[in-house]
Amino acid sequence: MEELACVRCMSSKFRNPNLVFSFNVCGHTMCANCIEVAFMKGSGPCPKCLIPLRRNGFKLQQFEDASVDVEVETRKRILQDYNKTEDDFESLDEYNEYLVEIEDIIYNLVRNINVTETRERIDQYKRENKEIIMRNRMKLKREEQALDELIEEEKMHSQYKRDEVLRDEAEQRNKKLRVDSELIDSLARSNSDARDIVNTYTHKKEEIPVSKPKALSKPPINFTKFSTGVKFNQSSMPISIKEGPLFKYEPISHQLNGPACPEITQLESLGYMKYIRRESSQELAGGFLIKTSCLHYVQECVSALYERKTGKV
Amino acid sequence: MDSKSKKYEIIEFLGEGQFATVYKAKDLVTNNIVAVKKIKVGTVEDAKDGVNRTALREIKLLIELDHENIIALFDVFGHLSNISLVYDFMDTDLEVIIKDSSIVFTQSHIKAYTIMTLKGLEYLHMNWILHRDLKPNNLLVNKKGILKIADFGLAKRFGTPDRLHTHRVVTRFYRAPELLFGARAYGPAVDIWAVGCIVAELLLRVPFLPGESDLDQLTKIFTTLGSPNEETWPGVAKLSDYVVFKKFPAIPLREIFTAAPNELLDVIGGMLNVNPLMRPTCSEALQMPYFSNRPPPSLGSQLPIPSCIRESNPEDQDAKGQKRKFTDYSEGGNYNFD
Repeated sequence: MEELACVRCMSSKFRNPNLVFSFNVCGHTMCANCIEVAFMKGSGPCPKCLIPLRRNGFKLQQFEDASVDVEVETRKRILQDYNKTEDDFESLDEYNEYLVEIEDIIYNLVRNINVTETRERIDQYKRENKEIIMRNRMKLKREEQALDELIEEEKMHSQYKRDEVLRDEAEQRNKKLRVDSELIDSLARSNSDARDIVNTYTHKKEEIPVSKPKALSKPPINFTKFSTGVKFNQSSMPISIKEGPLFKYEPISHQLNGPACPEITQLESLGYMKYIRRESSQELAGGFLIKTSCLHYVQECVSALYERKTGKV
Repeated sequence: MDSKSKKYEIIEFLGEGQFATVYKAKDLVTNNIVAVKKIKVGTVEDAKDGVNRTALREIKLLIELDHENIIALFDVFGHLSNISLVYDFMDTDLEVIIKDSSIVFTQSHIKAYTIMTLKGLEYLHMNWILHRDLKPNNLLVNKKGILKIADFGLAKRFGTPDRLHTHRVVTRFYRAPELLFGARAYGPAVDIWAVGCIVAELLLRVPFLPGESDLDQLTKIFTTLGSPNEETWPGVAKLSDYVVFKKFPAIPLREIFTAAPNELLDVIGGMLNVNPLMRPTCSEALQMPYFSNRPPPSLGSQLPIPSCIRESNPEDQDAKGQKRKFTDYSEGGNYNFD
């Protein structure tokens, strides 16, 4: 069998084992570098068969023979629509015919036989069986979900078992340790024969049941989900929120330490603006207001006038 | 002066920027945790000019300010040729919180952050200071959920006519259209625009108008909010860098912020008015119905804490959040040459 090589640069895994091969709908293999160069614009013709290809149509090649990859991809795509199960048919023969049809379609698509005709056949099938396709897709999704749940439950169960075994072992170790320390204690304190004491304690130690493979108690039934499908103890939202008071705007007070300063809105009517130039249209467009400057100066004039009264210098 | 540098004990290194290195330190007299920002001396040429300009601005303005939502400058001390600034220690900043995908913002959270930002800014504007670099990264948040405006390296006094400012201020995403058009005389409305962008970012969790260049920034603004004309923005054509844009229709804010209540859209729409004179002032904005309506703003204790801080124990705080702060001097858009 000829070696797998990129159709553009002809390099193969033999010369460069790090090559990453991808293929597109036409089934011609290209390496990642060539794809990068040839499909810079996102689409272009296949260098070998000149079929227009899209860059994001490239898939990583899993098999040595790219046509296998193409078939796998095509099959995946077709089965998304041809998703009837045996239950959807009245007799086994009908179901078998349906399966044969699928194989025919895939065979045709992969080998470029009557492509347009086959496409039409698929479209027609899709139109006719829209509802069934949708229903089966939903069913599949649900089944996948149920499977996930089952796996999750199993995981929890085994975790529980492991925990229980660990707990038991720890308990036994503790018991043994306690007997040992009691033995040392009584050897040190009691007046009776040391041999007797040792004997009684060895008995005691033997009495400790050896890690009995007890019937594992069932883990407590944990409801992990609300009926809405939201998991317990995974809530991302705080449940109870202590509410603070509503915001109330309080005007900020300006410590001028001087006589009251007019408001910015009063400057005009009080005559402060009489001898002041107007803004240029450029300044106005920039958001500069001469009024603001006027207020600034008036404030500076009146501020700190009472300084002596407060005793500060 | 020397004795002062011994008053603080450095706990850990927090971050480094173009102009400064920041340490977390303990005040040995009061036992408070503080952030010490040590200004770099820089090259010989820089040193000739005297004290670093950003540091000088920050010292000059911050030393007089006292507000719950403004970072407090406790102390300034010099050691040899160094200057160090001592601030409140803040655990994180709003950018970290926005980017933490494990945090879910409720309407109350957004309201609380916006109110704190506006209150701090109102105080600044009342004291005739333009911040000129508002962005989530400069809004620091501590564990108590109090937000403080920081980084006054670009801040400047305003309200003096005939003194022109540079228009090369504010990180690009948050830069108001009049600055992009080269206005040299502008007002507090540039800060309001930035707040509008920040509120929008709180809702979207990504920058609202991420322009890739100054021109792209204007394009993003106008394609989203509609291009200006003499009617919506009188005098716009007179601005020095004015460029004519194709007529774009405004996209209704409702379509961009699908989950926001109408009152909040009013706030955002007002702050992001392309005409600076039509934007509300801080005080006007705070009096808009959105802020006094239900739901009430979250209490500080209920505001989210990013996971990088949450997981570490209180004594050994992970300073990832803080680390990024103070390192932003080198970021694009951060000009200061006036």
